[in-house]
Amino acid sequence: MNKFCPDMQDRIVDFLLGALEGPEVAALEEHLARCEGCRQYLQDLHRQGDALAELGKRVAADTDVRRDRVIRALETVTPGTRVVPVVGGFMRIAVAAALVLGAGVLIGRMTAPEPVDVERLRADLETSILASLKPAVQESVLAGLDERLAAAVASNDAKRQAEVTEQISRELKSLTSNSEQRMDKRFAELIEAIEAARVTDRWQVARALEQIKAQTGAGLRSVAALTSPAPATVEN
Amino acid sequence: MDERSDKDLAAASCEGDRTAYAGLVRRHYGQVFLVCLGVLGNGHDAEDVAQDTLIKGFQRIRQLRDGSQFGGWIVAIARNLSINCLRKRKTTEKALVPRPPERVGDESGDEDLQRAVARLPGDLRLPLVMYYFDGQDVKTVARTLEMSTSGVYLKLRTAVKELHQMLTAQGDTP
Repeated sequence: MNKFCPDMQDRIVDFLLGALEGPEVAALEEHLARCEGCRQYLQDLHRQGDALAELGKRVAADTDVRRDRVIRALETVTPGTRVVPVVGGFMRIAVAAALVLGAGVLIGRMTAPEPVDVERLRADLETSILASLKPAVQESVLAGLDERLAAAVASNDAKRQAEVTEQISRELKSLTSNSEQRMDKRFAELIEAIEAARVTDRWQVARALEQIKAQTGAGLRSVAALTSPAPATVEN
Repeated sequence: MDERSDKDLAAASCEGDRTAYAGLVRRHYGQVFLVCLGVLGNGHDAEDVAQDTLIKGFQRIRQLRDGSQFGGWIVAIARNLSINCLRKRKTTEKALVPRPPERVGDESGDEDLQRAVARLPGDLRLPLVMYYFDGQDVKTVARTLEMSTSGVYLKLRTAVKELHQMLTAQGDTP
């Protein structure tokens, strides 16, 4: 058997596959006309192709049988649920980042101090303020009353005594009324401070409330502080 | 044969219509089997994997967004499952006694040719099987395998040359 020309091998195969263009086909045919080895090679490849096609037919002969087998097997299968498509690696990274952040927030919340219970603290404050202010007011009123009464008793003038008594009564009412108003105002300021601080930051709330407690818990010890024209404001 | 388009059949299959999916199986089984045969080089394994492919296709049909792409989609599944099967087979063969030489087709016919085809590398065998066994033109093979036309020509050229070389060495020139 004559050996084909190695440098022509690819062109012969391409010719077999129909991959050569017109001028290349003409050149190859010219070569084949005078080269028996390459002609033989091309004939071998043609026969090889025919044999492959025959083999393909035999392989495909029982395709219907195999196909019907698949169709029968499908009778026990149900289509699954739709899966939400995953959008590439970016989504995976985003989900991973969200999980890490979520875990961080969760751990932070678990390890953070308990938040301030403002309602409970408000009730405590009210009790504390009232408890601390009422005796001071009463003491002040009584002290003023004592002075007025002493002056009235010292006077032998019945008319003067009546006037002093009337004046004491008016001032007592005024003083008590003013004190209650100031207490209410004071308390409202404290509550506003609590609410503002709570919104801003619960740590600030905690500090503010500690400060407020310190002020009110110690008691506003004098009526002067309570009844002064410009009441002390709460510092946050 | 169901005259409905792949898109309609796939849409009906999504609703659990087995008859519709059977229509898709009838239409695409040949291609799926050839791809499995091309990758695996063994008819029995190819039959098993082709069946697995089409069953998985039915189970996953709702993942297919465009039913008109069913052909390419199911072929891609067939290729992946065949490659997985090939890997498992190689692993098993390393651990156990090597199997006798593979044959592409049945017991009859040209055994040397069958063995030679089975011995080709899978990336060469697959286009060769589609081109010669099924008579597909190069453009169709390229489209099915998602390759360039020139890439398919290159694979076919190498496959044809290697096959001839093997058969010549066996003294069995077709």
